[in-house]
Amino acid sequence: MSGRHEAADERGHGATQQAEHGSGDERRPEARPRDGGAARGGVRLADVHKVFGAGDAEVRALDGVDLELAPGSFTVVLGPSGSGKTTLLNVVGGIEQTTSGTVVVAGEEISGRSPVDLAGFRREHVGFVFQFFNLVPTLTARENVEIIVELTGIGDPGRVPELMAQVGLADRSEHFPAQLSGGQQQRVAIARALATDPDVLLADEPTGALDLTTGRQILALLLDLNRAGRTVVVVTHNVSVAQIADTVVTVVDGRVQSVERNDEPASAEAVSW
Amino acid sequence: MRATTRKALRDLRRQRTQVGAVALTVALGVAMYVASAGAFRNLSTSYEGTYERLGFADVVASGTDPQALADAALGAGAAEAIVRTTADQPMTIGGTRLQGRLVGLPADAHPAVDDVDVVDGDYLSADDPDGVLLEKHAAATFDLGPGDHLQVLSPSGWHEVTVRGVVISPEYLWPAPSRQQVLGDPYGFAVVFAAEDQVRAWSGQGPTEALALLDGTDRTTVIEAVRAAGATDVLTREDNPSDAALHLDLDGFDKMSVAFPLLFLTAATVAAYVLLARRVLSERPVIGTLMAAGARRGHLIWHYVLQGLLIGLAGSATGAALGAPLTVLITKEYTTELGIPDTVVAGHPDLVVIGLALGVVVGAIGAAVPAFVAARTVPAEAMRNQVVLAGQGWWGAAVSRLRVLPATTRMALRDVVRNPRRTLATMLGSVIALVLVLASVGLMTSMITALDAQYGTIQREDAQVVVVPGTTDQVSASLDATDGVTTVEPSLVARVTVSSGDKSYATDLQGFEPGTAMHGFVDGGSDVPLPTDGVLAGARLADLLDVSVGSTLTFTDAAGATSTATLAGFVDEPLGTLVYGTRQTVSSLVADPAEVLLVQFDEGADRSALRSTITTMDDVLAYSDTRALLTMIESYLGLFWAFVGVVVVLGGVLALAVIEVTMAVNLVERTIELATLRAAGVTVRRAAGVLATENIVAIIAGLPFGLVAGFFAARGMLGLFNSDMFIIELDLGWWVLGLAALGVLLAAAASQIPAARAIRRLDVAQVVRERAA
Ligand SMILES: Nc1ncnc2c1ncn2[C@@H]1O[C@H](COP(=O)(O)OP(=O)(O)OP(=O)(O)O)[C@@H](O)[C@H]1O
Ligand SMILES: [Mg+2]
Repeated sequence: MSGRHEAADERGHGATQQAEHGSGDERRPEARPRDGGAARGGVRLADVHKVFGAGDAEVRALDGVDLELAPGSFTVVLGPSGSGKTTLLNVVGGIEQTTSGTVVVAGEEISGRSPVDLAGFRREHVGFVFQFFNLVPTLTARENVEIIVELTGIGDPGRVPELMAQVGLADRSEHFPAQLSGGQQQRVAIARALATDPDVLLADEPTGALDLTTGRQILALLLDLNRAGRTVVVVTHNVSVAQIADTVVTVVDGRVQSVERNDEPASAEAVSW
Repeated sequence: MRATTRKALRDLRRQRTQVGAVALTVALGVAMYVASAGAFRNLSTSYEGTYERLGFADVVASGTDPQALADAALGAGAAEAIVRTTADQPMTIGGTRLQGRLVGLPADAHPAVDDVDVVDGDYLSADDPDGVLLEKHAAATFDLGPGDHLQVLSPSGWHEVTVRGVVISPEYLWPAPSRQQVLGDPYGFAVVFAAEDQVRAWSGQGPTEALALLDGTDRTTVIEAVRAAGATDVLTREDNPSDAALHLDLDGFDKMSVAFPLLFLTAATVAAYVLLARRVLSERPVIGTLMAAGARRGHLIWHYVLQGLLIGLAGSATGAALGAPLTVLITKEYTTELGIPDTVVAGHPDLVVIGLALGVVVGAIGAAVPAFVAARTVPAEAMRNQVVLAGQGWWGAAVSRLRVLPATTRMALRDVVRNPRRTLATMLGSVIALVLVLASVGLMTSMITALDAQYGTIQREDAQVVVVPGTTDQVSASLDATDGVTTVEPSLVARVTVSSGDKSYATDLQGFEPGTAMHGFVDGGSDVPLPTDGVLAGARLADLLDVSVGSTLTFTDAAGATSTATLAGFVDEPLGTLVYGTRQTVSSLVADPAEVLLVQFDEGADRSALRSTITTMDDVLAYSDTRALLTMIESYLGLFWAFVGVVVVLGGVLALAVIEVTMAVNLVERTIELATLRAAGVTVRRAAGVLATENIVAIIAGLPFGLVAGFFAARGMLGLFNSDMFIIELDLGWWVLGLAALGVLLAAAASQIPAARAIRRLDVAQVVRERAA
């Protein structure tokens, strides 16, 4: 594996700015030391609009978003309810098509692609973690990860035990969801998101259903994954989570209100709610 | 094993009761298919085996010079051709006079065509000219065996003969004197085989016909050759009354092998659909998550189709395993009942394969739509923990105002509309259940009504007495004077061919007294009078001849003479399509019709005594007891009743199964809600009450649709079996509809009990962990 800095530089951008002015010229070093693995992913949105409905019922969920996230960055997206956070995440992950604008993720232009194409893009580059774990109740933890390998045809089933160990569930692999705690279930969900070895990991309120301690553990796990080079974006209501990010994006009324860089991100222990 | 396969298997095991119910439905459909199609083949092969072994004639030609006809047949390439005498002569067996049929055979050797199979005693012998062979059905009816005696009327008077042997004949596997008398009083007809010379002597004629056996020869060529040689009448195998009757029966099997499996398998398809569609709906968040991860649609579709296939395969494997022994059972029962000597019971691997495939197809079709719906799930569903319900609209508002109802009832009533898909699925359950019940019960009630109508309102005579032409008045007087006889009425019967344009139909023309008390003419439920001018015809004639009231019908009698009459109206009759007029009309239409006296008896008259008395009267040629005919029909219907009974029971069982599937699915779907209620301390009774109210309301909403669908299914089913010989109208009385609806409702109510038990057993903790977050 080549060093992270070189890899990041190849992609052309460091961690980032930028909202209103749209350009990502300013290069910043990554905030967090890597534990090996090239920086992967990277996100660029230019003048992205997403409109739901039409006429009186029209909702501008995203209203001209320009945003650049460096490969290997850890971003937290904050904002009031209904501001467009989830929509932004979905657009980045290719589960929602934009109304207009350009979206480039992991070097791939995905705006204007068909749903089938987008599914292919997700298989190759993206892992999702949702607030609700949505595990298959009739499959064990390990099988819940394996099923993704099967259904996507991407990833190596032989690597599943390794993933289980990585999320700290090596000894719980054969348990069914009903036999796991919420935090453990969310770990399984994260392992499942990692099954295709994605460049970008997107998490929408991953701790929303968890208590503080468990939530911290999950965040620590996400940080670990980021340290391995993946671009991680976490959407949350919880301002406290912003401490651990190297980049904090605030969304209001479908617009990026601010992008702040955090030079000294804290560890997950610092988070509270 | 793959994780997807494991998920499929475990999901199915979780829903094992419902999966079992769907698989059972498939199994019954497949078992019925394999059994009835197999029985059909076995029976066909059995007949064919007997025909082959005994050299059943392919062509029977009659004319003035049968030897010339036989030669012509041989000349045209027939493998064998013989001549013989067949004559109808009155006989007396055990004190009963009846229509006898004498058939000539070589005295010392078996014939090359239309041989007989001696099942008891010995074949004819030249040393024993008065020794005859009695056909098996008559031997059974009159309980005669070798050594017993019977009398044959010969030109020189009654002649006593001795039964040497009891035989089976390919021509009389089903003992019918003619095509129009396929169903007859078994005491009214007997076939006796005797030495050809004796038959000629007793009947005063012969030879009367040539029989030809073809061996790959073109039949049309042979028929043309015998016609050219002067044949006046040529009958093929299919014209043989016995063969025609058996084919009618076999066709019934053939149609059953389609109709019932179709019904059951359709029900199974819908049930599989409901089961999987509901599950896909409840798995939407998971599927959304899989889609977000970029799951391939094809893989996901296959995952759900696989579950349908597994259910179908489990059902069809069971069904095929059941069907094979059932085939054997039906074949044995049937061939024994009818006395078919060669019982061929073969296995039919191809039917088993088709049966298995049917189950697979049912599963695949049932799963197809849910699978595609699953594959079209948008990833955004992953962000919803529960299926979002539509607004409540006017219904919700109306329910809210019903303050008198407890909150739980109001909740249930609102849910009926809030989750229309679930309500529709439940309604579908009640529709399938009613279709299954009504289609099977309808067959039974219609059959009973048809027999009641035929032998209650239509044919009102107790017996028919055929007399020597010109003796109607004398015999009528003797009958009037007989104890136990209340009414006697003269009638005429002639075998005719009715035609209009280029279409024709062979049937009986019957003439009654104007205002007859012996026959009821019913059209569309109301009585119609017998017209003094013109004729009435069975309703089927409209289609058979393309005619309507006012059309002119042409009648051709046995001698070939033609005449015409106006079609004055139609009558609805279950058995046969006949033509009726007054006696005067009939005698003006045909020459020399048979004279038949219709007789009614006292209630409780001794029928067997009356039979002996009447059959031994002077000038009586034949006698047929209508009640005996009914008894015989019922005895042969035994197999049919057994079958229909089984279908009714199965229909009921399946209806229960379908309702159970629907109810259980509703329960599974609402696990979270119920667990939440239970967690909040709501009693099992209350929680179950909410579910039950919702279910029952949906079931009730489905009843009208089910009744209509069931009515049409039953009618379609009966339509399959109808022909010109059986015209069974659907009779589903209001009470049947009411009972069926009530039954479905009770079944639904009963299945709330296991639901309540399931709610009691609900592991609130597990549910909350699995499903919520
Ligand atoms: N499918 C949709 N149809 C119509 N409007 C939608 C749809 N999805 C989202 N919206 C609207 O778009 C806006 C942004 O929604 P989004 O879910 O992105 O908000 P959010 O910031 O994630 O909110 P929260 O913090 O409550 O999750 C909201 O006003 C929402 O109502
Ligand atoms: Mg959101």
